[in-house]
Amino acid sequence: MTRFSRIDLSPLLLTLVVLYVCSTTSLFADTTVQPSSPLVHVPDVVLEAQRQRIQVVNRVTPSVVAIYNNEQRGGGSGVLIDENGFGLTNYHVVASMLGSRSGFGGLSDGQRYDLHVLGIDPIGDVAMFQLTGRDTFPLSPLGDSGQVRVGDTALALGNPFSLTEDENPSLTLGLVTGVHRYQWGVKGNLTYSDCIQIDAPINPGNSGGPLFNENGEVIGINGRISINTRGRFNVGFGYAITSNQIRRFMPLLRAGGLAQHGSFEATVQEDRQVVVIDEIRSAGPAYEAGLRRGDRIVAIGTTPITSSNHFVSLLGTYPGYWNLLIDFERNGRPGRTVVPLRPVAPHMQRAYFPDGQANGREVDRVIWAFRKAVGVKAAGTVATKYQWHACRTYDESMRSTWKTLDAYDAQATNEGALLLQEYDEEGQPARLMEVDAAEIQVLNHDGRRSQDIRSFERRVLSVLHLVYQRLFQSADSLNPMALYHDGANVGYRFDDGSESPVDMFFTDEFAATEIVSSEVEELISPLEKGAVVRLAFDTKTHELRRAVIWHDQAGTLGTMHFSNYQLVAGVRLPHTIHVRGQGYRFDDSMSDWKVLP
Amino acid sequence: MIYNKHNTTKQPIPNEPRASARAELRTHKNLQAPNGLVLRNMLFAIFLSSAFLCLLTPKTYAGGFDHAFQTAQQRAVKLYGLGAGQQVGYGTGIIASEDGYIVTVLSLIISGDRIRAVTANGQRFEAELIKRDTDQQLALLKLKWPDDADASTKNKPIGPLPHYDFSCQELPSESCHHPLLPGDWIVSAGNPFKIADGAEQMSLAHGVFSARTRLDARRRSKDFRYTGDVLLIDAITSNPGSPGSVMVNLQGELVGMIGRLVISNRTHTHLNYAIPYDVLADFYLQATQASPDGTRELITKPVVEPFDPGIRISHTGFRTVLPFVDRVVRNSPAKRAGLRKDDLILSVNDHEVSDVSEFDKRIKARDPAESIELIIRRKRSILTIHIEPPEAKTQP
Repeated sequence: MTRFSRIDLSPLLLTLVVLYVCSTTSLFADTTVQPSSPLVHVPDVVLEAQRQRIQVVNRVTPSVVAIYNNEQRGGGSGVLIDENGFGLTNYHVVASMLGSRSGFGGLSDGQRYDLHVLGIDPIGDVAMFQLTGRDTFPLSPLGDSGQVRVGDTALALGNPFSLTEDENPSLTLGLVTGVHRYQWGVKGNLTYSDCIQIDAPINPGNSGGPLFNENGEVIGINGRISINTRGRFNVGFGYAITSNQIRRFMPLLRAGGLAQHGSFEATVQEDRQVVVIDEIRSAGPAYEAGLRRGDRIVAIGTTPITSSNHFVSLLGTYPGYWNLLIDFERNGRPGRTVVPLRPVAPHMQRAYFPDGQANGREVDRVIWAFRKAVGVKAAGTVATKYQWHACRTYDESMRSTWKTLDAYDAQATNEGALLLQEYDEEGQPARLMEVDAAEIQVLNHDGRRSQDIRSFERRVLSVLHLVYQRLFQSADSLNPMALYHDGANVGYRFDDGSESPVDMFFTDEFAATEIVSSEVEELISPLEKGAVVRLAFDTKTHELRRAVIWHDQAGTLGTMHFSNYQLVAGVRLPHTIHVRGQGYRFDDSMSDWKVLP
Repeated sequence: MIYNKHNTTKQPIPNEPRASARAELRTHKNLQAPNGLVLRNMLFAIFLSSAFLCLLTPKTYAGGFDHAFQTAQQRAVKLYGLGAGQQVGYGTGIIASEDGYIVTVLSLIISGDRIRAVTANGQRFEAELIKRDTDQQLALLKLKWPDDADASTKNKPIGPLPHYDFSCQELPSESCHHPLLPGDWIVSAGNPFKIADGAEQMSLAHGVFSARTRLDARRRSKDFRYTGDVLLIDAITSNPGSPGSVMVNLQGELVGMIGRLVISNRTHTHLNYAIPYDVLADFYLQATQASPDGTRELITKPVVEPFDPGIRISHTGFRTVLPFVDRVVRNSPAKRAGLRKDDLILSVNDHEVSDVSEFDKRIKARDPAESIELIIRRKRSILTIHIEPPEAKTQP
């Protein structure tokens, strides 16, 4: 009995000995005592965390900007996100500088650099600026604010109370104390949607400064605090605009534009924790995308919706014209559609003029990337006369009278007019249509939308012609105002690789329910009064993905999706065009492209 | 104390000298075992000790705030009710039982006809006022749902309501004590500024615990009636809507509840403090009792509230203040007994009182239903004054 107990006990006792030895020989991390302060017992993990934090702060400090106006008076903070000196701040920091668009930005090297204000987003309280005076600027990367959780470490850097004398920012440390917050704005401006709430002290002067996560990535721009009756200083509630929201607006801000936020033109209400469409405007984008009163909103942009507040908050983070993916449910049937959001202009005291120079630079960048992607070596070296054989599939709902138009040749001329030669089923020439690109009719004379398929088709072809004319021709011949950079958007694609445009559909009818989205940048070009064509270029492949005809009052009139780029005489051209209009839809599969002399 | 939650084990202190010495003595015997056995035991011991070492390696705090906050905010409700002017119509409460008892602070919110509570999953309930304690500035509410309520129609909680278990205070259990040391992290979950709505997560506030103390803030009874201990913290919790917030330690254990807003009349400084767990537990357990089916039921016998004699004594900022009567409330029992301004109170119910705090303590500790006998000095005469209670009132 005693023997057994001894055998059983001995390993445990030995364990204790080993533990004792380990503890006395300071194998344990938390018995390691700092020699300088023998009375303080700080675990190594805490010291290590502190070391890491100091490293992060040292790394990000050079990218933090103290913003001063033309009188060198302190106004706010900012952060550089690009080595060319592009930086982010709050709109309300630069609002007073818009007259001259200039100010000063102080960096931690002690220098003040010239600051040029680029685009602004008054509704979202974001603005972009550029510093000049150095070859390369230090920067901090933008992080993914979607990963931020309550309880995460939050580091706010900036210039509160204009404290700094040597342009070095002040650090305040805290936690993320709330996510997906919504804070009402003033006259629609300065609305903080789906923002991050922190308890790191934010005070006057911190505005526009970056909020870092513990890896030193910018997850937000600090700009707002909740105040008590005690005056305008920190009471433990600061709010930061998320990096993910800013990312959607950045291309436009970089192009010096005035950002507009998107409107759904439908209201929602919460009924037993389910968000349903309450009222919907019949000519609004949600209605035209197929949504109806009583539809349950399940998710927007793949984010599940939990409350009507959440819906409003999330919606506020999207720009106007954005193609918002909506998952919905009608009578228990899951469906999906894309709503191109109607833009809402911000409330401005005086007219805002986009920065023409910055915009021209961005337009050039996009067009030259496109030309390079499709193989155009230099401007003006590509022919603009093409012939192709088009095979058309109509939507089932199309009127049968138009099914005779199943094959035709098209000739694009260089003189601003478009010649369309149609062939009948036997291949005999049937009809020659001429469309003047300068007189593209999107509306009938009585102001109503044209319901005539032929005029719509002509319009589509005219736009296509215009697009190619403007994109392939020499940069010199471009009217400087003909193209204007209008920011970022998104395009969708089925997971089977086909670049079908997304219409409203019920997911249980479709095998392919996964949709791949890709980022695009949009250029706009005016057509006639009130109408523009919006050209979307993929930010990765730089190919033209989409052309949308947009009217101020009527919204989207038609959409063309281009895909299946193939080489034709040294130039890559789209071989599939999907056309969607109000009441029209057809898909053209184009083959036998010929470049005519 | 946290219901339905696996307990986080406290880490043992690795180098405890006594235990180690004992271990040394015992192992000396062990070494006399046969060689092979020693070797095998040694290997096993190394394995065991390395396993222990893994356990004892200090955990990082990454996610600690998150975890503590999540347990806290799931056991709190957003409260909405009456508001007026500076007194906002929203606040926070702590869920104290599965059947929906809510502990919160006494405020205007719970004084209205209708009190609404929203749980962490976004369910909305009506709440009724069960008990109010003006001395401790606490209130007990209960969520209401119809008898035929059904979780599927969402007019009854879906699943068991997460709550803090105050009843362990009745047991001689160590698990109920979560003494904070100055410098310990604290995390609070509440609804300041009404930022969150419905199922949205509450706001987190964090800081360190500074001290457990009493406040000398009581200048007049109206200003701050609470005389018990408070936990001073450095998190900014003195904001509209914060009172009633859950305050937990990093293990997620309830340590207190954020109290009413206290603002200095002189400096306008806001005080950040919490009412300690034991005060909350006492309040809750005095109002309810365990019922056979495991839930808590209300103690229905009328509770005699200690009557307010109507004596007002000022604290003028010093530590020890002689208990001179500052003011006698009109039509109060003390007024009827003939107490006057500037009387110096010498004893309460035969207990000598030498300063204001002792007087407060004696007045509080008395039998609530009994009369009070004061011996006072008025100018040069010593007088005895009997303060009789007014007609008994029942709670609430």
